[in-house]
Amino acid sequence: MKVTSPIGELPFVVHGVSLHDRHVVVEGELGSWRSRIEVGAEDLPMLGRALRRPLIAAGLGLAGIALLRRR
Amino acid sequence: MSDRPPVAIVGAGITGLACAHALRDVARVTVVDRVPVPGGVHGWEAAETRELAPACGAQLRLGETAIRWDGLTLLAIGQDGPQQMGAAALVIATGARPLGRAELGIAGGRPAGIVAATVACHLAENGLLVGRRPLIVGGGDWAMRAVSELRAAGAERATLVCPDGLLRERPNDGAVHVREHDRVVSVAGTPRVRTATLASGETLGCDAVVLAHGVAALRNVDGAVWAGDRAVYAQPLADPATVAQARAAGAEAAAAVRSLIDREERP
Repeated sequence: MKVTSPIGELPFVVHGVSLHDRHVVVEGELGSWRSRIEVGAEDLPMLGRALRRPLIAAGLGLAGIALLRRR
Repeated sequence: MSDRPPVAIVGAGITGLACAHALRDVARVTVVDRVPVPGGVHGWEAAETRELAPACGAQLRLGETAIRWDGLTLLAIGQDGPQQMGAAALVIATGARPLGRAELGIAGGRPAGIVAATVACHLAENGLLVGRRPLIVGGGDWAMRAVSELRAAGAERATLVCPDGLLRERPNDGAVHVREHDRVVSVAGTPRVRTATLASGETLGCDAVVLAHGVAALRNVDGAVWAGDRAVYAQPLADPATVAQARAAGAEAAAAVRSLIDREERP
């Protein structure tokens, strides 16, 4: 995984995913810096907005494949 | 081998890593870099970085900024706070920078919008444009990069002022005007730069001045700015920077450190 930042593109290595206080926590390293990503219920509307188009496209694609297979 | 003397290297670019590699059998080497990945300007994904970083045998303290050298210890600050490390020698391998405004003799006030090419390119890569009508001083590698990256980031037009006439290549871009054998002598504007006056007497309008001329060693560790106590400098000043020159500078610095260690160990 790569993350683009103001100091350039850095590698992000995931060490573990866990659940803390109703938050999904992804722990890893951004280069050598210890990093942590927390996703909670309050982030779902934003994620939903960001993922709406890719999810619709994926759904339509899967539906198309299923229709073709039935024929 | 715990009797090997400790050596600190500031800069995990190819030069610093090559120096560490050359010292791996004679010293316990620690490489410090403020960026959390090795490779310096060549990048962490470069083949040379991937080869040298694991092979150099050094402790890599990446994401830590070296602050001060007192001849015996190096102070660095990172994610875990300040750390001191003793060292028999310090190698400064922090790369190079374009000449600054004072070094270029550019007079005038202190308006905003006058930046080094390294900064301008870095901002442009991240979508931040220093100016829509930048004036770029220089004709070498940094100037060429600044022209292409600022134009790619949305600069409407750019003027390239090449003081020594050593223009690397004439940009194939109608929106880039080139002024060879001329130099910027002063700038004006408040609060942001609005004009630059050339040695030829002409005054050009601009909203940023990007300094991309010349190459100087980048030294920002207090106590090791000039020829310091037990400090060795490994900073090739070639334009453009090449891996071969970086490796050679690293090996040369390692030889200097070896002779320094030998001298110290002699009764």
